[in-house]
Amino acid sequence: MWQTIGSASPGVRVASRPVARRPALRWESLAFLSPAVLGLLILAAALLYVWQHTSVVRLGYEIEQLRERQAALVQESKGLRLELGQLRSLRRVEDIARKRLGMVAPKPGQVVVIPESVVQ
Amino acid sequence: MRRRILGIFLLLFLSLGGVAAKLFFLQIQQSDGLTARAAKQYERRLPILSRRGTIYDRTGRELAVSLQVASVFAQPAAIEDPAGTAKTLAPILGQPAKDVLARLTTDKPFVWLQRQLDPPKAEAIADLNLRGIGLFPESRRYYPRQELAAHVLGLVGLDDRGLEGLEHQFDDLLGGQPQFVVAQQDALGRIIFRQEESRPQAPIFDLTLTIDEVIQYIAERELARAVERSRAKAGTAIVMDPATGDILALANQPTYDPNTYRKATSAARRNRAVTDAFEPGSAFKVILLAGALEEGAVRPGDRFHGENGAIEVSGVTIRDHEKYGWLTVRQILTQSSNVGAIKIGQKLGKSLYYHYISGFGFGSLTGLDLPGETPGLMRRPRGWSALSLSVLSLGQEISVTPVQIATAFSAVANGGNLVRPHVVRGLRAVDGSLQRQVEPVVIRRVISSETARMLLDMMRGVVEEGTGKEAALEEYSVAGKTGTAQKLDPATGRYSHQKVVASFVGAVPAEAPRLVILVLIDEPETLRWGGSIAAPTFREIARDALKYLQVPPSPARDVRLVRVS
Repeated sequence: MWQTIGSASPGVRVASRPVARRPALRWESLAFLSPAVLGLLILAAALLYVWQHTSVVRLGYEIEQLRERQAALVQESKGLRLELGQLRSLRRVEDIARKRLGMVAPKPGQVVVIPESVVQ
Repeated sequence: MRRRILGIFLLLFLSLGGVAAKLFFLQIQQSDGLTARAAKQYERRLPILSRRGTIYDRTGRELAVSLQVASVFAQPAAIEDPAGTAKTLAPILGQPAKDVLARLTTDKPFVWLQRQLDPPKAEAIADLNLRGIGLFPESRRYYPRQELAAHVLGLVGLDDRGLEGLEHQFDDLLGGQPQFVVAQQDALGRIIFRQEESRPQAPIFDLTLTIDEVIQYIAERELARAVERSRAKAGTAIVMDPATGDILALANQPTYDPNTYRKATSAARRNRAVTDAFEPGSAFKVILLAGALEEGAVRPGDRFHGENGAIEVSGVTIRDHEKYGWLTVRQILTQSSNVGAIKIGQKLGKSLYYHYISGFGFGSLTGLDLPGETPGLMRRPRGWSALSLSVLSLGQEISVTPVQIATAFSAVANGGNLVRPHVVRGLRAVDGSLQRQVEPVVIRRVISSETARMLLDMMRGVVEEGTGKEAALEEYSVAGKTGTAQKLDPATGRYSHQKVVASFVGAVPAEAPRLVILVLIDEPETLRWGGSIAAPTFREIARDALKYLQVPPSPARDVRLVRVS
């Protein structure tokens, strides 16, 4: 007998399969397990909490250390910039240029500023 | 049996009841006090330094910066061995041991041993780990360019408050109130967490100045040379952009290094350019002429007779240094004739002259953003004596500040507008949240551009053929005016012949002024004329500043630009 796939031919009764019934969860059996499982669950939760707490504290120390290091480095960089500023003081630069390097100020005519109108 | 059980039960109940009662007391009754006590053990107030804003010159070079340093303090009650502690600390602090000991044995709970230590010293003390000795972070102000622009920048005291100059004027914006955060610490005092800031803080600002480090340096160098060369008591130099009122340089002699301000005398710390008023002398003839030309009281070609060098006004004889005959108005300015100026003043009249004096800003504050400015002294025409108009025509009987003169000459140089001088160019919040530029402010038009042009042309004559020849530059045309004012001797109440203020104010390049420069030398012992000491100083400042600014030479003087075709 030909039959279209996917559809039951008329007149044919498709009986629903009998489903095996699981035994209902019994409180009595759970009650039997409870002390051990509950104890473990509570322990796990407690451990998780302690672990979290210690990591937070550890990270706190780490952050504080890095913060100090950052502050020290910022200070050092500022200190170096300050020193740079002192070394760049024009009086010192001119002194070195004139005395140590023997440089002189340009005479009139040695520096030629070309007006923009000429450049264009 | 039952009784025993009952007995044990009762015992347990009572003891548990006791525990519950104690718990009640600790957790509820005494809760607040105990919580606070616990917090005291694991919480600590940490000082955090909100850094004071940086001050930059107009091109962004740092002129004042703050660095964190440590101050060392003692809590005498906690020190077990004061003598030993004093002995250990003394060499590091560089103080005698007995002085340190004296402070360690006071009955105060807290004493500073030394503020703002150099970092290596602070480290040495931290390493000692002494009981009762501690370090407290503080902010210290450094001026990397030492005395450069000292009077503009001012200085900051030990408690991080600005005491002088811009540091004082902009103290609130530069910021730096000490702040604290609460942090949790462990048994060893190491920080575990800090609570994040919840309180909003007022933003801290960096300042950018109109001062240009290079021009400032040039002005200071040349001024110091002039004061030394003429053995003067003091001096001031101001370089200003006449179009905007930007002060490019403001230098005073004597000066000081704000890094070590405690060693400086108050005379060295005074910003004479704004706090000291002088009688301007002949430089003021430009103001007289500005009024006279603007009102049409005289024309540049009008002639006045020089009376052979002496004129009598209300029984007082006023002389010229030469016996002049007929002089044009232009010559009166170029030769700085007193007789001529008096005659022009009489033509202009009291009230109009007063109108122009106050119009140019004399007698009132310029509005410069620096503290301690004086308006100078100027009497209203009602209070003038019979002699006043004549003497005022020579720039005496009025006192003005160097900044007022520079501002007034800027008005002549920029075509007649009185602009407000300023040293702060912009403000920027450190966190980038706010930014403000200072725009040029025109206070009023004092004279027409036509009058300004005529005046500048006459002032060119002063340098080319008159008293200001020493101010002439090879490559640029200069317009300016010399001044030599006798000072009132406070002892005698009369004008002294020995004590003078020699000055030169000018604009370069004269055809389109980029800079107005004032040089004022107070009580020179040698080279006592404005033309002989202030004018050459003007020249040196102008030459280097124009070169630095790459200003093309004045057209007529440029011999090198040969057309190649």
